[in-house]
Amino acid sequence: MATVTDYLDPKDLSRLANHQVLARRVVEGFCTGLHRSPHKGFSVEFKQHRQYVPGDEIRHLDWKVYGKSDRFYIREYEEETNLRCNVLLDASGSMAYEGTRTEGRSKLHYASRLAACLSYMMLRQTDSVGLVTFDTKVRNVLPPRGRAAHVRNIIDLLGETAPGGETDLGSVFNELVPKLKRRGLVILISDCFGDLDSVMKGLAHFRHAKHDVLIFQIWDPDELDFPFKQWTRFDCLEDADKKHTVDPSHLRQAYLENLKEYRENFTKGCHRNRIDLVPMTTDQPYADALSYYLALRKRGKGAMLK
Amino acid sequence: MNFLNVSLALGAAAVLVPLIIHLFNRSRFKVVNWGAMHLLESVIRVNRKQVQLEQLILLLIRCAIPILLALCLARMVVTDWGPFLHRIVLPLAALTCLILFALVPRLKVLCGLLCSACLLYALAAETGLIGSGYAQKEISSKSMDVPSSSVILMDDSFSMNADGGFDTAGAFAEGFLKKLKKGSEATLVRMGGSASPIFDKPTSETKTLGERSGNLRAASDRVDLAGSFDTGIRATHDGQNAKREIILVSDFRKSDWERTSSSLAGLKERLENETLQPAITFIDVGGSSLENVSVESIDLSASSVGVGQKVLIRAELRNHGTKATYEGDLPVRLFINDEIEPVRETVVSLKPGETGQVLFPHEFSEAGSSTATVEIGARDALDSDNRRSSSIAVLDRIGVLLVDGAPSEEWLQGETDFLKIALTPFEEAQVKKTIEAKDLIEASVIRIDDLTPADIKDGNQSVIVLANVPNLKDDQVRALASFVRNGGGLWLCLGDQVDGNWYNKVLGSEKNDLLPLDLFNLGGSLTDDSVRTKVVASYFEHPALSLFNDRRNGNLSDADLWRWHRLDESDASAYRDVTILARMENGDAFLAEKKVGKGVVIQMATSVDGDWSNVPVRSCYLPLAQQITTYLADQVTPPRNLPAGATFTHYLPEKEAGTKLTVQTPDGSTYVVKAVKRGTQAVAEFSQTREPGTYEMSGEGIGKIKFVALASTRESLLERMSKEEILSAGAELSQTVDYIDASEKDALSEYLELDGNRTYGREMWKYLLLAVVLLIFLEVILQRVFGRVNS
Repeated sequence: MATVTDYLDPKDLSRLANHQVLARRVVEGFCTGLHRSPHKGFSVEFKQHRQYVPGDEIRHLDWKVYGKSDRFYIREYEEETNLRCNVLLDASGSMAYEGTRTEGRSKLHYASRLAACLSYMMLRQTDSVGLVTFDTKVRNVLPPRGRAAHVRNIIDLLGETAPGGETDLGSVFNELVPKLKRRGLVILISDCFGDLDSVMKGLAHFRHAKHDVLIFQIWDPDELDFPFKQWTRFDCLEDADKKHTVDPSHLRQAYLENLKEYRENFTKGCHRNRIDLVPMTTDQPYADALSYYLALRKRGKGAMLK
Repeated sequence: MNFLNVSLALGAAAVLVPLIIHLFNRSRFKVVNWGAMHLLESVIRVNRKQVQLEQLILLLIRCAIPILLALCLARMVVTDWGPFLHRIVLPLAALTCLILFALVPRLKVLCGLLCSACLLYALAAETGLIGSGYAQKEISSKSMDVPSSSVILMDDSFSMNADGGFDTAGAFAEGFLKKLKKGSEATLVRMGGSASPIFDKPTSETKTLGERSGNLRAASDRVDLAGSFDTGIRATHDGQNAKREIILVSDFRKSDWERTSSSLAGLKERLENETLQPAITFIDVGGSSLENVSVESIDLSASSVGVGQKVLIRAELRNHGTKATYEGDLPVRLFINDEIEPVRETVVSLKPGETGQVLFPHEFSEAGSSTATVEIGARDALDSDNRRSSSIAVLDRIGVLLVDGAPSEEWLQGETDFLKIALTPFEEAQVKKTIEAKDLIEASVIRIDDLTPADIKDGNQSVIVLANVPNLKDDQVRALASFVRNGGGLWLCLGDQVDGNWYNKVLGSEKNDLLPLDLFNLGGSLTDDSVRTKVVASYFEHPALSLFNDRRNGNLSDADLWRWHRLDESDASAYRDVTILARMENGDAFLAEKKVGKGVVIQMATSVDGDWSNVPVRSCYLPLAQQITTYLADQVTPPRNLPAGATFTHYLPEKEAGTKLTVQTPDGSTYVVKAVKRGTQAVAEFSQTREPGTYEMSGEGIGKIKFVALASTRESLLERMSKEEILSAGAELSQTVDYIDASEKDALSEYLELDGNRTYGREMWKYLLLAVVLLIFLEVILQRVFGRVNS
């Protein structure tokens, strides 16, 4: 049974206390909250006037305008709503990688802590948050809830999650999209390994369903600089049959070039679909990267981090 | 391909190091559970072959470096293009093509083809399918441009002095050593007597060698042909340079080359097995003159004489010539102790091929080691053999006191009568006026009743013989003990009168300590023939009896012993410092010796007259009595006239072990030898006696002792080999032997001209080192380049 402190560090949380996870686009919600609702309601903040059409409630008529212009206008207000956020956690085999410089913490562990942190922040700002874990298929779905105690359920699920299976983001996304009925924020925490085209198609599918998609791409530093020197057998974490014994020093340059190309294509694809891509390396405290990103996002800048 | 340092070529085994590291790395890989396989897989797929090729190239370079370095250090010498091309150049070319193959994708096909062509050609050539056109073609390294490892075998036997041959040889050696190229090394082997190089190892100090060789004298005994070639081949075998030459400078006399075929055949085999065969040149410096007379031998009538005793010196002379040059007056002189003035002179006439004798009588006036030299006063082709010396020990007279314990008026019935005759044979003869000669020993007889302590203490005698003395008075014993302790010799002869108890208790007491072994009881019988015994005929180590090792001097075991005192050897502690000189066949001691103070006591188990044995009537009696007496007087010496090259030996008292003696050789140089303890005496030995002549050994406490090293008489035979004979002798040694006759032309210029036409293998270490350095750079560069692989 996972404990809360395994995933939520008070220090990290205190660093993130001043941040809010805001959807950049309009999302649907039940209760009033931090987020704009697509439903124009009648509350505090004025939005616009529009002409009365038969069927409108008479009580929304702006009588002052009528007095000045002798026309019927309806006064509309912004309605704030709560955010439904789904955290999609990749628990595929490749996430089990433990680098040489990360003190024995796998990418999944890092990702889980990030998920827990994000969930906690969501719940704190009265948004609903849900958790989906997947590898080749969707494994567990925890529907979004807004109760503060929901963090307990999330952490329990995170605790149960073990890495395994092959990543197939495209099919998983296609499977997930119909399940998330209401528009909301989709936070994908994954290394996004796999066929780039199918991944991009899956992401486009989310975008098509009007979800606001945010990707935290988790990298191990080893994967970025390929520091191996002596003869090494690379055993694939996702497919036990794939083993390659090579002298890595000969392959390093080629690998790095391949990596660069992959990242460029992925970044471009995300741009095209207006998806925020936040790369994170497991040797950096996630709180730092997260707070930096959230600050940027709040300022509304193109928060596409490198 | 050959190597100057073959052992270092084994360093090529270091090729295993990169191989092992490579295999080790492959087998000891790290396992990484890798996530981003989709990024890595495509890279591996695309680059697998290229990476394998690169690894192969790096491995080949790393293997090539130690191999080439080992060949470089082993100083490879290429005598033949073929193997060098197939085994080194072509594989390196193939490697270069392989590198280009990996680096320049556009030229892949061309480089691949070239690489395979190189390898195929090398393989085919190595198996002998092609390439025979140049396989035997030698790489010529111009002879005069390369340093050499040269050995001059210099005949310094004294026959070289004939017709100035040795001067020609010396001039050649000096000039040759001067002309040697920088980096050369040379040695000069003196062939005379036993082959000995001037420096143990070839030296690059050819100038010093030249100076040293200039100081040589042709004074050695006949040449040691096989030994010299052996030394020469060994010196060139270890040579530092690829150019190797052996030059024999000799007068090629027939007597030197007789019966050498078998040893030459052995040498030929060795030469053929040499990887870098030395070029052999014979330089003939002999003259044509044959007229020579020599002193063949010199014999003295005794090896030791007393002062004033007459000794006969007989010299044998020979005329080796063919012309009647020396008929008529050929003066022959006798010199004593190398004095300038001859002591005697005579004239002989020698016909060609004839042998003559001269006889000089001489009386030495001074005691000590002396030499007698006979010289022929004539100029001939070879002067060195016109003199010959012999060493002789001139002794002071030895006083011997014979104490007769059983005197008799009757002739030969007294106890000491036989002994007196044996010790002073000439004196007895003089009574009869038959021979004019003096005895070395002066023996006087005294009856036991007349003996006084004063007689014993009298300084005239150095040996006292107690013959069958029953006992002595206390003052006599005291005088006797002090006589022995001060260096006198005591000979105890037992007999029927002897009081055994008194001997054991008084003479053998701790105070006097004059009895080597206690008397036990009487053995044998005067009546029963069955219990007779003899002295065991064995090899006698003891100097007093070593004379009998030569049976011509008499045989101790001839005589029968009828009765004797058994000597008690059971007391091991007392027996410790006693030496048994000889034993009887039944195992009882016959002669026992004990050192007491500075003196020696010898005990004889039987009587010294004819009562108990028939020794006195055997031929061995006289030498036995003389030897024991002279030994007791400390006068026994090892031979001092020896062939050149033999070891001179001098005995010293045991306690003088460690003393240093100086030896002066005939050429004036001095050596120091140390006496070492051997058995019951100290021995000084000197073996550097290759030069015939007189050697003087001197030291503290001993006078000058003269040894003579005798030259072989064969050196006097000047008959030389013809050119054809020399060439056929050379052919027995090696297939190609060059011959230069120094009597016709200047030997040095002739040799240089000859040498200019020779070719030797070329040393390749510079090129190999260059290749190693290039490969090291290449390895570093390629390692960096191969890091950047196409994605």
